[in-house]
Amino acid sequence: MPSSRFQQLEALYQQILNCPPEQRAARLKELCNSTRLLTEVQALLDHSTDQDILPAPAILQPISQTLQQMTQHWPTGYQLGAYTIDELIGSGGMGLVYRAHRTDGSYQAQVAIKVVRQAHIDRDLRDRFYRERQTLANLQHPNIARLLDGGTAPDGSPYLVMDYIIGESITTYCRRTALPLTQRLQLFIAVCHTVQYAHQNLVIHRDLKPGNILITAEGTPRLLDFGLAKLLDQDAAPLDTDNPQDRLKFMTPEYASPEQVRGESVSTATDLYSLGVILYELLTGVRPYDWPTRSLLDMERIICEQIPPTPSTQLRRQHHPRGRLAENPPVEAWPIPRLHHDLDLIVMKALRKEPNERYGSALQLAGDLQRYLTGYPILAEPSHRLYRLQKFCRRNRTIVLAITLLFFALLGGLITVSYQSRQIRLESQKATQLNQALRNILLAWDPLGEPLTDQLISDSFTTGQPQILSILQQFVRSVEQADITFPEVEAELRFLIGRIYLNHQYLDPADEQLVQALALQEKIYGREHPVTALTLAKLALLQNLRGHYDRAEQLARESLTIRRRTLPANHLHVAAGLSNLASILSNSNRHAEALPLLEEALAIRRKLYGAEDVEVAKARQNLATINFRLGDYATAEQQLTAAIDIYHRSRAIQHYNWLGLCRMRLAHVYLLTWKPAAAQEQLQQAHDIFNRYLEPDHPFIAEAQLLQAQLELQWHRYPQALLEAAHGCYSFQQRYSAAHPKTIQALHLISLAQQSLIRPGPYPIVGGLTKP
Amino acid sequence: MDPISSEASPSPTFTPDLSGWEALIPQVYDELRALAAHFLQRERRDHTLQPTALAHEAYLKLIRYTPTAVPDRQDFFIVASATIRRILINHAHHRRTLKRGGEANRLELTEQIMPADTTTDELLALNDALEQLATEDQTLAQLVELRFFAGLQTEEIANLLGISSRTVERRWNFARAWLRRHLCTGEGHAQ
Repeated sequence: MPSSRFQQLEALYQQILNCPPEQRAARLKELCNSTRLLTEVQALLDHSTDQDILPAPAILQPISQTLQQMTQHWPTGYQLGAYTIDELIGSGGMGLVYRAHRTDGSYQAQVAIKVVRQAHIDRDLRDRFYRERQTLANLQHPNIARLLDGGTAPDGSPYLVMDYIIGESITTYCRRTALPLTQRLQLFIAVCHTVQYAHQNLVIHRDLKPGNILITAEGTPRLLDFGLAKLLDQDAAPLDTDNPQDRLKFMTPEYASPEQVRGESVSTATDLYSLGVILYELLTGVRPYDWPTRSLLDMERIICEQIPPTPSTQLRRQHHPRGRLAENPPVEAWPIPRLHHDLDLIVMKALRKEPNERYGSALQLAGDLQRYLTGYPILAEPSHRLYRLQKFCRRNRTIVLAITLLFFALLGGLITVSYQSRQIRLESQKATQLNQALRNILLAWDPLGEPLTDQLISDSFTTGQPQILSILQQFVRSVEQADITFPEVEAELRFLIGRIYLNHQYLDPADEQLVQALALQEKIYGREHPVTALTLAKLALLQNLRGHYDRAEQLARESLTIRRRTLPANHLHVAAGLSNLASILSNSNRHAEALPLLEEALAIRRKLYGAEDVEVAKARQNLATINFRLGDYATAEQQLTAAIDIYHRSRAIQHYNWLGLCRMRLAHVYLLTWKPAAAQEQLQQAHDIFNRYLEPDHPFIAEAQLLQAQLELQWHRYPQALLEAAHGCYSFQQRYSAAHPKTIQALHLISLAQQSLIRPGPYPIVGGLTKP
Repeated sequence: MDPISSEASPSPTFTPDLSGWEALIPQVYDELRALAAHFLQRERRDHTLQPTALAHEAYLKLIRYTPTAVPDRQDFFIVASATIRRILINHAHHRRTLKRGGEANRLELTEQIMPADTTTDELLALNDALEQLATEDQTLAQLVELRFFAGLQTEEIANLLGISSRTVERRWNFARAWLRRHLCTGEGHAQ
């Protein structure tokens, strides 16, 4: 008896339907004990039909056909030539893959059989197929799965018999074993050497992907399917190369190169591209591109046009707490915390869109990775940088060697100490000390900082060569190569280098280092921290120098807010933040807003250090600048003189450039108040200081040159004026930009000098003031 | 290529447990949707992956998600038919939303996915009715799904569900009557 009402309903329906139509009504009455049941069955019978419920959407038929065709496979025990099928182990773009063994037992090992789904193969193509197969069979390398045999199935599909490799894909293996970076690279280098072997034998893989690079239980890589893509490609007759569908038939788009996607000719460089994608994945855990859709048009566009983020950027994104994985944290921690810049360069070179811009061979790629592992400079390095560095090193062998050795010794010590502190709990005191030592060395190169000894200064700065830039580049390199384990240390070093670049007014490299320092500091300390605020302040200063006052103001305000929140009200850094902001406001002609900030800064400095301290002198100097700009020359002069007095009495060498700036400002006051002799005297002293401590094209010197030019104009010495202005103009253009206000000012002076040369006469206007 | 059929493995104790398969649907959804798009756009410029590759990809994913190395054809078609159904219904919903929103110009896009020979409303109504049918008899709903959405023929279904072809025909007949009645009356749950 049917259990449910529904089943009862169906049973009745089927029974009635079996009856001849004329007996149905009677039979229905007979079987149904209730009227309701009867009505229901009757209703169902009324809707009985031979037609479909709805016209089946036409789309469904081809889908169904494809699905059914695809799911047909040989059962276990099926005899295929000399082989017995064990089981279906996989399925890919070209067909199904079986595990099998030799039926006659002549070959003990298991084999993998790939069946190619090709309905029509003409004789020519089949011949070529066999020829190619022979080439592949000759490929004998311990890390390459051999092509053993081949044949044609009874249904006409060609099949290939290959070594059956038990292993996991290189990506799965690295992830499962959480393989450290060095071993990962070594494994990958082995893969590169294998690819190189095939390339030397004129075989291109064409479909390199993690699934084709298996790592065995012993940890050795075995590469599968070498040359198979070409074999199948030729086989896919008739191949319509204009049809992207055909082109991509056997390709794995994630690892396909631009030339493959475009259907252009394929070379060994194509494999190098795929290796690049795999290396990218091994280093970051993700592939370089995101696919919004599986549409071929999108894929083609992305592969051919989009430049992926560098691996280290990708890594930061992945592991940044606010990154896109935030909601979806990775199951296991990624074993690579950060990547060296060199690895970025290597991967990005392998991923170049243009084949001839990639590595020349797999051996070269392996070589660069090896060079990275052993600490040698890599070839992927932008050539000009390498060239410059080499050139510089050749020129200044001793100094570079000394500094680099010292640097590495300290860094090495630092790392050892960090390592030991973990192991034998030697605490961070020593690390801090070494850090301090390192700091001092770097600070010796800071024109506004505290030099170690006078000796160092006379050795380096007085030579008048623009070598600081090269030395700093060397430092950056050292920091990047040192594999610093403590992000705090890296942040500090980058900040210091950035600060020194900034004070030397090399704005672009300063920006780069400070931004990196900021990112690290944000991660370590958070945004709301005095250390982070300091870097923000430096970045504000940088934007200020660039003339981007809005951005500078924003940064300075943020820095000041953080400092006010996290530091005591009377902290030197609060005062510095106030001065910083004031300077920016004053530069955008908001002197009235700047003034109270400077007064507050002065008050704090006074409270902290007393009236006679250099910090107070600096505050006075800042105030003088505002008064100067407001046209209050008397007050400005008074404040500047007082500041100079303090600097002199303190005798602190680190303030000499401040003294130089002070004298230069005073010279400007004298110039505008028509005291050319006094102006010349101050300017000469400023010049002397700057020339001793700064590089010849430093903007301070350029500034002094512009003042000198104006003085020369006052004295009607136009050729000299022209010369000074041109010097200054050149420096500003080099250090800032052609459109920077300072450069424009210099150009203005040049044109004035030129006009005066042509039409000599009393020079009417200097710096916006008429001659009294 | 001639089909090299695996022996159909009738499993008389088969009780479909769609809840477990529901979880697999997202895994093959993308491939089958692209497969559908492929056939619909055949007349246009074709920019989708090759259909066999797509079907393979779907199949391969199921290999990964099923405990046995080789997916049972039965399992595969149950997931595939449920997935195709979901794809069509999703598009039908989408199309209705567009119509309501008056975005007629965007309709063209969905026309590609939604066949012109079945109207949106009909398909959605069928889907509702099928859901009701599943609450009454899940196996029967499964049969309809395999027949209508995966386009399988009587023998295939008989093999997959482990019942005779005659039973498939008889039950299919009943299911059609039941569904048609519910589609015509548009009434709710049959009492």
